[in-house]
Amino acid sequence: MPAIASLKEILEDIYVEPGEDARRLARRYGYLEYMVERYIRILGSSAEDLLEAIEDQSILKPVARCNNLRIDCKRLEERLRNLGFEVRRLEWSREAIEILRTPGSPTPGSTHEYLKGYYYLHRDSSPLIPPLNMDLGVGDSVLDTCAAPGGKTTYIAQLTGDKGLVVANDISLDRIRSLVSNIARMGFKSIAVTRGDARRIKEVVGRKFNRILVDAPCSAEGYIMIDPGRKRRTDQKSLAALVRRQIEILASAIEILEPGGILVYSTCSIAPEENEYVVSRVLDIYDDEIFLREPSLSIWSRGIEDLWIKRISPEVRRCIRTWPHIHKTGGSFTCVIGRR
Amino acid sequence: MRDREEIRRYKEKLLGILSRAYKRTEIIKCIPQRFKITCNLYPGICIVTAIESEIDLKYMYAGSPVGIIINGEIYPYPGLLQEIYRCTGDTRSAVEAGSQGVKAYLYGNDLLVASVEKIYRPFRRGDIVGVIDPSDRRVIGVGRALLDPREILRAKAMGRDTEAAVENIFDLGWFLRVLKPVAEEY
Repeated sequence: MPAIASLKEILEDIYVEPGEDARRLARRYGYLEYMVERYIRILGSSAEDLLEAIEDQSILKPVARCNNLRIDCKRLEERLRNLGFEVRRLEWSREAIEILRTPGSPTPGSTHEYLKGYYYLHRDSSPLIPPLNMDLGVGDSVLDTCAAPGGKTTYIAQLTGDKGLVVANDISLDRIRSLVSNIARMGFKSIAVTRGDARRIKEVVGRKFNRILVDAPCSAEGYIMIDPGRKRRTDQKSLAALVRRQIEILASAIEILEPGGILVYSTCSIAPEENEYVVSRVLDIYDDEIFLREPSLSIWSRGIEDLWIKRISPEVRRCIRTWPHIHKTGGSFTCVIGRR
Repeated sequence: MRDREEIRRYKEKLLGILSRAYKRTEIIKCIPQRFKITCNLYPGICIVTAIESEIDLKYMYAGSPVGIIINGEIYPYPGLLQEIYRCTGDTRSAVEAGSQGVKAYLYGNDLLVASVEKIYRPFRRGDIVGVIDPSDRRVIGVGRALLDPREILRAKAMGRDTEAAVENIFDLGWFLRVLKPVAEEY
């Protein structure tokens, strides 16, 4: 494994000093000041739109991702309507049924259809973006390095027709229990679950893959609306530690990406430190071995090159961002990395 | 993972349960050959899975569930019964539940006499039966018959509606009930 930047070096690269506007908005919305300073630097006058959007938990519309290997999606849509759900199909994923309104009972996670494995319940549509950009085909072998609780893993199994091999790794036993229950509930047979540290994924899986998903553990800064405690949880030093771990995980996965292979890096964060910066640092490390690919499905915003953070690669414009105030979803990041 | 001898023993027991309703030759072709047992995930149960081919890495869990082991006894997994009914083209040793019965069963309750809507013979008191939701013909659980088919019909005729007909051993709501909540995916 190549040497990864030290915590001190990362902190120096990402550090930002809050200005007066950031202090004022941070007080009003209850954030750490540096967080708001970043939003102002990235979004300018739209920063407050973002802060307002995050205040509204109802912008997140749950998505029932139909398990088309078990049920016809039109039939599922009909069954959900009959139960009193107001739903609509998303145009960009043929399996996604967005839930606009739920009846008092049952909840989307307690219907018989759910227990029978006819769908996976996502908080919103953003988690569908990374698997859809992996260019998957029936029978592919895929590694998901941080897989639990399995939303993306089971989607990958669907997109590969449940005919290849999906290796789903996670470090936490509690989360693996959730992962296995989702796999068993939905009836997938092509998934193998491993337990190990994604920073040393080569030791865990012992082979190379042509398709890899790194859905890195993150600050969840894109989903503050469901956990407002995150407005003040991650200071810049803790963020630097998270970033270092993300670089380690991503670099470890690149080590086992086959030539010509595709790796998708994703987070549920809008923090550029965890996104554009992590990808740029890894581009630095692997220099001419890897490059950022144009995503095959991109109807969202793009990665940001013009940042206060040092060492950002211009290639990050190829990455995908979702923003709560623009796309009415959680904030997320997806970047497609190719290996030469 | 368990050793081969233990896996062979459980597989034989599973075939024994299924052979009460089907000829061994009928079901053997419906059951995959490679079994694995995973025991360290959930309290009190082991999951027996079938894998189609060997996987060249060390894993905790793989394949599709065919059985569950509770207190050392193996029971067919609902998905396996579903596959056997499909593969043989013949549903045996099962009951269909009414909509209230389906709901109650998925919450871990026994199936009451009043909720048995259709009986698929043969089975006797004490046998393992599949519980089917007629709305989509899905097997929603496995249970132990507490009454013979004839006794169920008699109990129905006598209005003994609240008497349990099938004891709930495992149902598709089980995972949801035992899992500690973990952060949902963002």
